[in-house]
Amino acid sequence: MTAPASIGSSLQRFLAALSRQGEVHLTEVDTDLNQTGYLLLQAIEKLGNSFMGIHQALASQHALIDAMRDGELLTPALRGQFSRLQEQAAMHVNSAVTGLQFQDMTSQLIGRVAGHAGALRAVLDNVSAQAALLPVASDEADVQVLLDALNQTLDENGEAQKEVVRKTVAQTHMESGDIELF
Amino acid sequence: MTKTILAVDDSGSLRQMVVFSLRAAGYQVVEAVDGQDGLEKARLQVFDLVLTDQNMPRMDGLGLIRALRALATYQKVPILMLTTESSDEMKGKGRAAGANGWLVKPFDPQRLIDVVKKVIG
Repeated sequence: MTAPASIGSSLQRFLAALSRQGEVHLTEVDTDLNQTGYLLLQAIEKLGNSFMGIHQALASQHALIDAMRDGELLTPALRGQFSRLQEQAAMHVNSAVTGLQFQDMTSQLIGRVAGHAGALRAVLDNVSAQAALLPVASDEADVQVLLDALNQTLDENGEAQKEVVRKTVAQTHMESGDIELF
Repeated sequence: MTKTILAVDDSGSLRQMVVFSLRAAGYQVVEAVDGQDGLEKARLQVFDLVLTDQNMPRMDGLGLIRALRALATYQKVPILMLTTESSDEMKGKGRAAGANGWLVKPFDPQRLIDVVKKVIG
């Protein structure tokens, strides 16, 4: 007949399994975050390069139009139309430059999530390491010592996390941010 | 004479947009990938203005400002922060470190140029 497991060994198994499964999930989170960051970077590089190409083509087109205007090859009505189109293009260029900055902000958010995943991994590692120290034939007193040690570690981690939790990216839209000169 | 600006940001895409905007307005721009790189480039050449991000590896924006203000050649050079950080607490730290202005990302090219013109002409 199998001897009943002690509360210590049951707790030890539970904490080890919790740590192991947590590690598996966190590894997946890390992998997906890295891939998201990579895809965002690739996308923004392509968009940025295309944007630069379009802008250069537009600038060349503007130069041609200016030459036609100077040579009086354009009617006043056409000149007015081209001027309005140039103003519209400039407005869209400014808007695109603002929008193309989204990768910078999202990559900071990805970095923050990765940081939190790393901190959670450290907590689970610590739980696993402290649980492994529990004697095989442990009693309630041993379990109490373990729980006190884990609580102390979590309290210390909580203090260390206070600075990390501060939000560095609070923007919720892609319009221009505030400007303040001191 | 063309004014030269040091643009410090660890994001390549953001630097690309800053460089694009400032060059279109007639400024020369030198890029740095983080605070440490910015400091090294600033030691080699005195720029007319420094535009720096805050959250960067190796040395952050506040660290860069403090290091620059410790150099005799950068006592009066305007330094602007361009960052996602928008809290009053961080702005206060920037001001105390020696920043002359705080711009919250994302930036609008025309507004950036207007500010730069106001600061260095």
